[in-house]
Amino acid sequence: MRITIRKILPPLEKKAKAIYFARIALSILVILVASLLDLRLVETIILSAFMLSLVYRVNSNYAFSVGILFIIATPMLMEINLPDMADKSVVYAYYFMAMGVLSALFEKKTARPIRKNSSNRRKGSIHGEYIPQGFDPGSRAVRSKTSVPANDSVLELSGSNITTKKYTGESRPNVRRSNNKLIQG
Amino acid sequence: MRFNLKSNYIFATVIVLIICAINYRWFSLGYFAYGDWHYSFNDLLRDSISPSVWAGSSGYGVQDASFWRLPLNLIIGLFASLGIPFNVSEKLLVFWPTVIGLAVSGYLLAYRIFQNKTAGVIGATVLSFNSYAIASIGQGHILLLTATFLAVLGFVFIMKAIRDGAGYKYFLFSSLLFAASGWVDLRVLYMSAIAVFLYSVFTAVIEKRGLKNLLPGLFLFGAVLLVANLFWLIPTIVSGGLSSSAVLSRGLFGNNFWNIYSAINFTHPFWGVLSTTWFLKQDVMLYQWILPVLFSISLILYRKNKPILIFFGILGVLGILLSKQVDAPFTGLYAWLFDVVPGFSAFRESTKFYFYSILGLLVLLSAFSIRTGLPEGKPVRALRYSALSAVLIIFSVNAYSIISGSVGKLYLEKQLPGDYAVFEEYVSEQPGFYRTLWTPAAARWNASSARIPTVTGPTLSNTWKQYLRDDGSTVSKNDDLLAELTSLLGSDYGQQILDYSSIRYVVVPLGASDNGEDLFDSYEGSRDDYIALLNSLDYLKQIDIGTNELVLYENPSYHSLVTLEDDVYVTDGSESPALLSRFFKATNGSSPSYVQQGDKVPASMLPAARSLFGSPSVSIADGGMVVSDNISSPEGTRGTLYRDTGTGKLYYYFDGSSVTMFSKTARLPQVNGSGIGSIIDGINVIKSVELDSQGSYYLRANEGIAELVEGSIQYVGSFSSMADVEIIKQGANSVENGSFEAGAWRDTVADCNKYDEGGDIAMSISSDVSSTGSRSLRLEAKRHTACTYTTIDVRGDEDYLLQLEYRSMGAQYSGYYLEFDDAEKTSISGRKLITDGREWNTETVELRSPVGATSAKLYLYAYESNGIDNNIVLYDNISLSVPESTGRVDLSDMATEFEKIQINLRKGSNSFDVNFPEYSGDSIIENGSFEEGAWTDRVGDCNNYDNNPSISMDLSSEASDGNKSLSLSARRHNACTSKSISFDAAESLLLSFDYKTNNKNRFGYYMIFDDSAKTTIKDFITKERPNQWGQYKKAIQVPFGSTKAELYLYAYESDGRTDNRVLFDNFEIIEIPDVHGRYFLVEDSSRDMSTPAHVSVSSDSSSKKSVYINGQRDASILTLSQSFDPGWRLYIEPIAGWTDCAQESTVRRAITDNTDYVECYSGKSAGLLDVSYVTNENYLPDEFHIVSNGFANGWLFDPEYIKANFPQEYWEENDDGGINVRLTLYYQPQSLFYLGVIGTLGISLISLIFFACYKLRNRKLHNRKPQAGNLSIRRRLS
Repeated sequence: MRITIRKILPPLEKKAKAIYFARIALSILVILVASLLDLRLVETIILSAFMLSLVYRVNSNYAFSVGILFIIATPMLMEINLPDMADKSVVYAYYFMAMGVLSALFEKKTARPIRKNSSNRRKGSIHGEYIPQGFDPGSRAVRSKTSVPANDSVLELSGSNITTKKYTGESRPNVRRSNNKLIQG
Repeated sequence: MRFNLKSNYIFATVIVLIICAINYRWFSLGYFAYGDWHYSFNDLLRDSISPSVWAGSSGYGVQDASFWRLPLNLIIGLFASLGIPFNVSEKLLVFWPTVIGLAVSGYLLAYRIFQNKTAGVIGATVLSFNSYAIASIGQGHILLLTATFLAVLGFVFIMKAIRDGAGYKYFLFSSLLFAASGWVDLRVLYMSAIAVFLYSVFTAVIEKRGLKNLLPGLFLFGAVLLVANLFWLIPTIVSGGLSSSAVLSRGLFGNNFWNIYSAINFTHPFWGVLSTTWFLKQDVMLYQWILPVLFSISLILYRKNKPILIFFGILGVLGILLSKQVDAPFTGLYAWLFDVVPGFSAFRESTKFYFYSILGLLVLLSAFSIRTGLPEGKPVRALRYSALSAVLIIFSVNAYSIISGSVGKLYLEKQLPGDYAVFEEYVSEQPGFYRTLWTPAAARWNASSARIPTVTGPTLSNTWKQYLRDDGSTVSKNDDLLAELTSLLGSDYGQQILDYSSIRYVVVPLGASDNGEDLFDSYEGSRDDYIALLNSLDYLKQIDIGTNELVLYENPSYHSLVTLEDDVYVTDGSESPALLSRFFKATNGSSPSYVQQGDKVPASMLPAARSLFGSPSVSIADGGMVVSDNISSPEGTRGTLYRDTGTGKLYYYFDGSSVTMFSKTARLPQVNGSGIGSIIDGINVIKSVELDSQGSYYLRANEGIAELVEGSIQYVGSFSSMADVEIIKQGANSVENGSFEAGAWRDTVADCNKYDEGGDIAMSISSDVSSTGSRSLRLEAKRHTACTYTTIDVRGDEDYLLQLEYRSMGAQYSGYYLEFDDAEKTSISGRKLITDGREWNTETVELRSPVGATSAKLYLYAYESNGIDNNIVLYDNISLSVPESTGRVDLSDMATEFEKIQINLRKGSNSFDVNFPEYSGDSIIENGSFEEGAWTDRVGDCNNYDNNPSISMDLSSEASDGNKSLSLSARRHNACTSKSISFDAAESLLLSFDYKTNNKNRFGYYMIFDDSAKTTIKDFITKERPNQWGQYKKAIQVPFGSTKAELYLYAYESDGRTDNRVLFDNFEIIEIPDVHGRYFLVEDSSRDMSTPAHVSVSSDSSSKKSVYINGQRDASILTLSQSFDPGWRLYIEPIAGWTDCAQESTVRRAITDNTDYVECYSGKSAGLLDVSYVTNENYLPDEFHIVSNGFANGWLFDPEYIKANFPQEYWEENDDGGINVRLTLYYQPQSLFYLGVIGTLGISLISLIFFACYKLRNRKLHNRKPQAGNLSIRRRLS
């Protein structure tokens, strides 16, 4: 399984150091939390994986997928009379389900709008929707001027006409940076 | 949201019609009652018209913990006052709105998010037919779902308000819906408010829409909610009702039921296939695992083009986390929230949080109705359609359970039994206030109101069972309500219990003829047993009111709503009133009422009575054991010491050929170190009975039976607890080969719990160990239950004595089962805790064979072990014989006699010492200070509700005595250890030990005796000062026939965060003489007491009673028959303006020889004017407000105090010196309710006026012609 890692900061030495130390601090924090909560090894590993997935911005789909595997495994383990393993499996299923939604929340929180000249927007990708600078779907001013439909809607510039399109909330394309150039993911 | 009604109405109509069709049974005006949903007669419902903070219609009265439900109750009350019966109003107000509301709100929520009708249909289906909704409604918790649909509807509007900035009217509208939800069930409002908060944060912070724009709307939302709930918030908070609420102070419930499996599958733990079995954890069906899978897939597929799904994903995950309660993972989280978060303690069980899970599930499953955002190829489309089909099938299966009726319970129509209608008609015609007692419990059709409250058997037992024993110990009858009621009502204190409780009628409800639901199934004993018990009570009179099956008894001497008494004594609250009552009956023939002094009534005002040596101290001097007690006398008064001179305690001596029954004179004590003192017993022989030298003899006494012990004086018990004793000879044994000398009963062992093929059981004959002879039966079990049986010939309708001897080798329990061959296959069974595995235990059971029985099968068991070691039980000397009575000694005429000794009490402490040189004072418990190690090898798990205990036991070097103490710690489950003790012919045991805790959590002990009744004594101890050693001491009466006991020590489960750690040390159990109840001290009072000539009571509402007293000369105790609450106050009113309701009186009776009593029901509550009681100071000070007769509100009503402290217009003096006064008994938080109502109305009115002015101003500005000067204003407005 290949995990896409996004390097979110330019390779500036000072910032890299800061990140390096931040990761060490995070690792210590995980161990500390794990010991305070009396977590066992597996829980500690899961918690660490979760924290690292946030740092490295691992797609939450992975957590959901692992969660689904555990959900499917649980009744099977019960059927083959391995109740202790089923007990663990259902707990891990919950962990990954919770990790999934929290990661998704984090993804949503840290998502940034794409620059106007993003090629994705031109291609009409679902991830490439454009959010104009200063647009606030909840603000009265924008609504009153543009008659934006009520639900989850954003403006999309299409030629010279202003139309509406569903606002997905996802603004960052599936791209990675390499040498400060955008590469389609 | 754009909800086009025209385009949706067909859908809406079709959905509503389908939902109604599925719930077609409810669309009639039939009777529906089950679980917590009771039928109410209009008498009770009309009480709701007059709102009362005091809920007086059930039990002994209590502050209404669900007063927030007032608006709903008011509407139901209005319907009742219009003559609309409950079976109609419940449909119009609850059933139909809930069914339709769930569907509509589910539809709107999904449609609001996805703008898709299919999504709406899925939403409606999920919300209407999830297993949580069906299970909850079935059990009668339908109001939870009514509140749920209102909250979901409110959520739809607040989503629009927050997300779309749709304007204040949406905030206002949603807050009103949430308020309505809270008026139906406050817990749903609590959860909804948290969800709204989370949603606001999600929108503002995560979706970056800014908090600034939301704040004014949210402020309006919160303000409206607050104002709408002021009516209950003010009285509840100001009166301290929240902190003292019995509802909120209950502990967690059902830790063993709620689990992660059910929670993650969004399934109610009691949901099986097409039905629910309440309080039985069900296995999760395989198909139910589809739901969490779809939940996760939905988040994978849709969260990017519908980020709102992330919020509902969080809600779902939060719901799962909470609804599993203390199950893994995060086992301590729920308990922590329960303890720390304000309001969370209303959720004593976690299933309410399915609200979150279901809301999350609803939205995430509805998402499959829209395109994913991925290229809509075949696989994606197939996945979507499969998901939708699966959802519809799963929830249709649930819906089918309603259509088919397999879910039963509240979904099925019932018949109102005619007997209950007759009963309701009869009791509503009987005037005045009184209670009805339902044994064992109230039927769902019982008639009760504030005028005729209902008391159930468990309520009566829990209130009074502390008085079962003279030593005040709480005796558990192993939750056998019949045994507890027999002890209570059958005792010589039984009538007083009913009198004090104002219980006029005792009812035995219908059995299985009540719609096939036999409420006796939930209790020990049959309906006939309860009828037999009540028939045996002389003070009850059975009356015929024209019912076929329902049985009714009347107690004519019940106390009125208000009583004034002059024959009252005061206790310090630690005494058993039953013991003191017997003492007063013996000394002056009266049964006075009593009040508990506490630190309130000046001690000298009333005669103080107490029994000595309830908690004695023991010392060993040269002359042997000295039992001492200390009494504090603040003023140093004169008193009378009463000494039992002979017939208080019964003993016997058996020399092999005769039994002599006798009593002993209590020895003279030394008072303050001086006085006579004596060490010689006076003996009063009561009766001698000659016996044959052949056979075994038993003595039946005091609910127990025990074999006669030869050659030593044996203590039987107090006369007060026995009407007679009987000597019984054991007849011929009907069990062949009962001693197993001829081998086992069967060739092979039988499996009596064959739940699979993996049984691991064995049976053999043991030649090494036996009670008598050389052989015994050995049953062992590791998996399943090993058993064997024999068939015994019996005669029907005959008394029998069943005896078993058993011994454990690793097993904690032995057990037997005896089944007769009569038509009903009558059976008795016993699962007995084995107190001492090293010795043989004897079980003796008296039973009566059923009519028509000719044979019986007796099974013996060894129960399944922990799967590691074998549970081995040995049995020997099994016998079933017909007992023969050889002599009965009637004790009912044995009047207890007391000698009076006048003494002067010193100011301060006074000592009373009795010398018993024949007692050694040695402790009978070995290794009491744990210097030789712990009592058991391993810590016991005394609450193993799951496989995740966190308990420990070790020896600590922190000791109060010696070098070691025992440390018990518990975080999950209860840690326990035990020790066996043996004693011979003991009267009482003085238990004492040192303890130290690390927090204020309680710990306790439990002692089970080996008498035939298996008497158990327990105590819960809370250490107020943690980390300091304390000492516990208690004298415990040994039950008749007991020679052994098992003492258990407990550290109870903590909140899951830290261990509850208890150190035990220095255990001592000393045999002492049973001196409690043999010495009484009565201190003289300084005041004369008398009752008035006339009392007139007008009951205005549950919270308010007006009382007029005429001719009160001396002090008396005024008692209001409602449970004690500091909120009750006795106000002195100006005497002018009183209208005696004697003319319209509904009740007229003499409450004492001198006092005429009238009672009427005005129903004329002053309403909002009663807000004046918020500041009214004309009430008797709190020190006059005391606990009367164990539970009620009492006031020391002293004319001298009134004359001295109130102006002349508040009283008038008669020629004979007596005064006339007008009083109001008022539950003061009621006035705070009116304050809250005024607040709600006032703020609403001001807001409306402000809003109207604002609108008017805007309209004027808009209508003004544009001029140069006001152009800027118009621009601003536009």
